[in-house]
Amino acid sequence: MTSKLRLARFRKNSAGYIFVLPVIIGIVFFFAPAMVQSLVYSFHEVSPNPAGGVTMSYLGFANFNRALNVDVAFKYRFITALTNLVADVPVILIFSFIMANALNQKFKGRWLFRAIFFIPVIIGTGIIAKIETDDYLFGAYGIGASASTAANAASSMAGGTLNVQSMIGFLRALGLGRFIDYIITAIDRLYYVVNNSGVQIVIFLSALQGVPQSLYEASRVEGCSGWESFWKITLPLVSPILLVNTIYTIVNFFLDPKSELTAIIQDTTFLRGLYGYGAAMTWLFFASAGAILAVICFLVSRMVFYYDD
Amino acid sequence: MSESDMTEAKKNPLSQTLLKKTGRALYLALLYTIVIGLAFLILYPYLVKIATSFMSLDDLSDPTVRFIPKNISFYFWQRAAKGMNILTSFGTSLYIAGITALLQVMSCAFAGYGFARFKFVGRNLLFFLVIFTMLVPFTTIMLPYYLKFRYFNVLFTKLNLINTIWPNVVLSVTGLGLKNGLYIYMMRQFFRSMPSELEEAAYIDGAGLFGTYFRIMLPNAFVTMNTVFLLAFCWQWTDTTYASVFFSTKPTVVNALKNIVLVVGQDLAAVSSLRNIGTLIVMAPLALLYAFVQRSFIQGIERSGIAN
Repeated sequence: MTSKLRLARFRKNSAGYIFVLPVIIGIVFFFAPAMVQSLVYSFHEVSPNPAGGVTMSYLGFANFNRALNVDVAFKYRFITALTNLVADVPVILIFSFIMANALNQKFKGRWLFRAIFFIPVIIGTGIIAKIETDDYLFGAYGIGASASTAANAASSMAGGTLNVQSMIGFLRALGLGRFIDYIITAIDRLYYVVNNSGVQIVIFLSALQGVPQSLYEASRVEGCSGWESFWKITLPLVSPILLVNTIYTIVNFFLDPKSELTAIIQDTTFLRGLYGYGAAMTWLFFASAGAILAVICFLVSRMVFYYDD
Repeated sequence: MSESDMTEAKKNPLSQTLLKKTGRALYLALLYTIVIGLAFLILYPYLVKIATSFMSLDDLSDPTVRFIPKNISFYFWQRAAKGMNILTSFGTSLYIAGITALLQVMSCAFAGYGFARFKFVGRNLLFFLVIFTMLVPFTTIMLPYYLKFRYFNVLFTKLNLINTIWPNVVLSVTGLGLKNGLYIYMMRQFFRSMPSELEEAAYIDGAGLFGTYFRIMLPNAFVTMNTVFLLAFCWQWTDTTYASVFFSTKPTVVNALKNIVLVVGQDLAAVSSLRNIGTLIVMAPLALLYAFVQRSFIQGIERSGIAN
């Protein structure tokens, strides 16, 4: 390769900086400073300064200590959130992979089912998801738990689940309590899983579409059954996407508007004005979830197969 | 899930063909059972919401009325529409979500192209950082972001940008908005799957860097950009994370929905019905939008085709 050509290629590649420049600016001027600032807050007592900005006094690890050893409400939600994270990620991944395969089959009415499956992605997010299951509105305005339970009872009456409730009571009375509880939890989870797998299905589906048809044809000629070609072709070729989907599922978990942990952190920060303490809480969550993510990614990446190699 | 193959079966003896046919039928039955069941699970809450929304106050407290209202009434719809100030809140949210989504599509396509096509030094590190920005819970950077935009430094003057559209504009342009990492990823995957001959031909014909991008690459990326726009718009429309910090007092649909409960007072059946209808009102434009563009949306998903 002549040096001229090399220079030309270098210049062409350097042009990439122009395209990613906005992203670099964003990370350097907004994202990175915000991360550093938040970390600094977590070691301080922070109070707003009328002149603009905040005043801080150093506390050492007191905020972290308070979150982990003193604040029972936080600790409980913290542990619940982490357990849910570990429990839900594999379920969502497996479910969305199966669904993506089902929706990738050729059958009548496929477009309609695809359209339905993406409804939760399009309209079931943010405030809608928040309102669907919990009493966010009441919590937000401090009307209190008793009023909200009453409202839930009222809304379940309106929604028609009252009959189910009485049936559950009846089955419990028959001594089938544990069994029925198990079924209910499973159904509850199924609803959660279905409504939180939309984007993952999308990503898997696009990966399945990217598997070259020629490979299937070749394997058919060689006498491979559909079952075998699924394990030997589909799965390895889709596996790189598994990592992407794992990351996305965990990210989604962080952004879950229904998360009690997020709610408690927001309350602490903005309603109670404990900026430093709130920052310590969120860093604890971020760090431990990051550690879990690293472990999961490590495990997943060992199963991943790269076609290029 | 295996793919049974009809063409091969035709070559086999009759009994085997029959076996394969039954297998295929059973398999389809299983497939439809699963798919229909789950579709019902998804649609059920929406159907119940719609049915309940037309019930009068009497119907709501009548235990014999379920799903189908006895007296169809638009009373709660009227009250909800009034309480939510529907024109103002739709206008405000349309303005915020529309501009934000548009900027996000443009900036994410721009960055996605850079990541897909140029091997500059530090590309992998930077792309990792993009994914990393998605990974950080918003609560971590919420307060610093708030302070940044509350006292935004422009030429040594501190401006208060909270409750204006500017925080969203700034973050969207720099690829830091709501789930922008995902959009950058999607755009990058799309551009990677495009044949590079197209660009080379353009370069040989004398098109410059931007000429190639805007005239050759972008028009081809239309379907994927459509998908990204739809996601960005819908997620911004219902957003409660960024919006809770930046638009706390703007009359958006989200805030209107929160306020509707305060308007009503104590009657709990009425509160829950209004809450239902409020949710439907917020969802309605998105459902309508999705109904129109769903085909192209699904196409776009297929074509963000992860070629790897």
